[in-house]
Order: sequence, then structure tokens, then C-alpha cells
Amino acid sequence: MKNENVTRLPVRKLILIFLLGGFIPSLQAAPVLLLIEDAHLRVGPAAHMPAIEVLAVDSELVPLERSGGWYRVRADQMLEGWVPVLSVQVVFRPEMDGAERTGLDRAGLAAALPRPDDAAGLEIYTPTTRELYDFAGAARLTPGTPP
Amino acid sequence: MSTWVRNGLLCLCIASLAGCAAAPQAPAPPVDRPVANAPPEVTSGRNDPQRDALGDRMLAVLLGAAPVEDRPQVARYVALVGHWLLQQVPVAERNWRFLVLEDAAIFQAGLPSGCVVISSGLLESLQSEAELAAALAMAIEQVQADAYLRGTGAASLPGTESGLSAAALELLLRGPAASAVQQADQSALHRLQAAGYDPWALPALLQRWAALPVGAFSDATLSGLDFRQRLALLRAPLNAEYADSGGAEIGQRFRGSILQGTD
Repeated sequence: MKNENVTRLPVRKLILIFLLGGFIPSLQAAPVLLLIEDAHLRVGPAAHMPAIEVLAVDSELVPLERSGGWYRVRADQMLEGWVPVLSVQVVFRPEMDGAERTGLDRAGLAAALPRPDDAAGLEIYTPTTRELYDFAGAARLTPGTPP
Repeated sequence: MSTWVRNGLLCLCIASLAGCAAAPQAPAPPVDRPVANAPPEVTSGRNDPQRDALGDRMLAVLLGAAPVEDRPQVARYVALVGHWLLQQVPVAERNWRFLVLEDAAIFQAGLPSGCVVISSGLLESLQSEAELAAALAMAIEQVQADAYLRGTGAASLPGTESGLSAAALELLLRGPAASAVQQADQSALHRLQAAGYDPWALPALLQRWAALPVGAFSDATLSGLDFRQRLALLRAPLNAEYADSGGAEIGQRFRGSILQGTD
């Protein structure tokens, strides 16, 4: 039993690293952006930045990063620049088929035996105010001013 | 076999299949799904004990369908992000809690009693803490918008345990009301910005979810609005109020917390 545990954890971790690293087209990846309207490819993530080129609707772009409401993308001819988030839709290639059934799908929920005692006795972690501010401070998470 | 391993194998298996994108859809006014057999007497926020009883029973149904995520660091991390979001903008008085269930489906629900439930499958669909915050903010605002109870009527609850469970199941399968989801999405942008997260993480997340097949999601998460419709409805407020907004994305801590949680 001990040996099983020793070998299981590294494998699990490796697969996680593999998934999160984006080496396969998992849910983590967003490999293709498809333009849903004509858009300017700009040199920076703002509408006032100079345009490099006008990209036509249905152009396929490779996403490189996102900054606020802008994606930095690679277009045809290896052109790189920024397009608005709302001008594209994400396309997974290949697409997930969603064939895996789970406990939380319609059939799983319908077959579930409700566990009211478990719900009543559930212990869920609740942080203190101090923990919250330490957590936010560690990431320099500063409250903004909503519009 | 763990959920993570199963999902990894699933992704490998489908790696050679080609995908295709549906054309973007024009925004449509939200239409709430009818509730055929739910108790017509269930209120929408006017009777706190009934609301809480239904919320607790919905949680009981969920606990019967999927186990609680067993990685304490992951549960703690999700709770920290969730409570930080609660801290920044006033919220309705509820027993606010954040719970992760172990399930491959993408699942997110703000139960009427104030318990926000997400799945490990949802965590796998995220790329940063800002996207986690977006998912939690949407669920928080769905609680406040009475998303699962909206339009279900008023008065008393079923008198039997089985009746209460059946009502809870029906509410889950009906999903959140479309009109409440639309309202919640817009409020979530505000909450994200107030908490210091990049509000654009929310449309970016909806864009990726829109690219996934419906089968990747729990039925209890889907509303009468699909993700492209929700994005289209957010377009005007995003352009008008958040065009130049930014905020924290926090990818490294997110990935670190998820990996750390595997131990």
C-alpha cells in the first residue's frame, strides 16, 4: 500500500504540470482566435495605438497573451499585434467532445441520493479578515474603483 | 483514477479531432425556463427560512452526486478568493461559503442559501486567479439575483423530505434563470474591478467556455442563455465602462495553488 502511494503522486503531478503547461490541447489552451468582425491589428493594447493592418472577419489568429480588453496575437505573415477581446471568438482545435459523463450531469443529479446530514455538518474553511488581507497583499491585489 | 488523470487522457484521445466554430449570435432577450413541477409556493427572497431550506437541500443533492474535493489547499485558496470578492462590495445577508466538488464537468452554482459551489472541472478550465475570481463573482451575483428561485412563485415548501428533495433537484436541473444570469454577469464585472482583478477576465473566460461543447458543462450550470449570448449582452457595458480598465491577473499563484493542492 505504501509503495502505491509513493509512485502515484509524482505521476499525478507530472500529468498536472503537462496539462497546465499547455502541451496538449486541453481546456487550458486557447489555440485559435477567429475574428467575428473586421478589426485593426494595432501595435499596442489601446484603440489609439497605430494600426499595422486591417484584418478581415473570419481571420484566424494565434493568441499570445491578453492585457485587459486586448489580445496580443500572431496573424498571417507572422505579423504580431493587438486586437480587441470582443472582436474575436475562441475556437478549440481539436474540440472537446464532452463525452465523459459525470455525477453533476442530468442523469447523475437525478440519481443522487440527497445527503442533508452531510450538508448540515459540512465544515467549510472561512478565512479571517487578517488572512484575507495577507492573501491580497501577497499578490499586490489592491481594490479598484468600479465605474 | 483521479479526475485530473481522466481529463488528461481524454484530451490526448481527442487530440486528432478537428473542431469547428459556430457563427456568433446576436444578443437575445433572456427568457427564463419554466418550472413544471417545482412547488409554486417557493418564494424569491421574501421568505428567508424557505430560501435557505431549499438552498441547503440543493447542496444535499449535489453532495449526493459528487464528493467534496479532498485537497485542502485548493479549498482554502478558493475560499480566500471568494471571501476577498465578498469583502469589496456589500452583499446580501447569507451564510456565505465556498465549496469545491470533485467532478469533471464544469460546474458553478450560487445556491440560494449563499453557498457557492464549483467543481474541479471548472478549476481545470481556468488560466488565472482573475478567471477564478470571475467564476466566483458570477456565482455570488447569481445568489444575490435569486437566480435559481426567480420566477418560481411564493408560499410554503413541500411538507415531506422527498418532496423537498424533488423540488431542489428540479431547481438544479432548471438551472439559473436567464434574466438573473444576465444581471449577475454585469454585477460580477463591478465586483471584479472593486476587488482589484482584471474585469476582462470574465469575457475571456466566457469566450473559452463558448468554444466548448455543452456536454462539458453540468446541466445545473447552464441557463437559458448560452455563453455567446451572455458575451453579446456584456458587449455594451464592457465597451462603455471598462474599455480602459485593467487589474490583476495572477497566473503564477493560481497554478501554484492548484499544484500544491495535489499533495
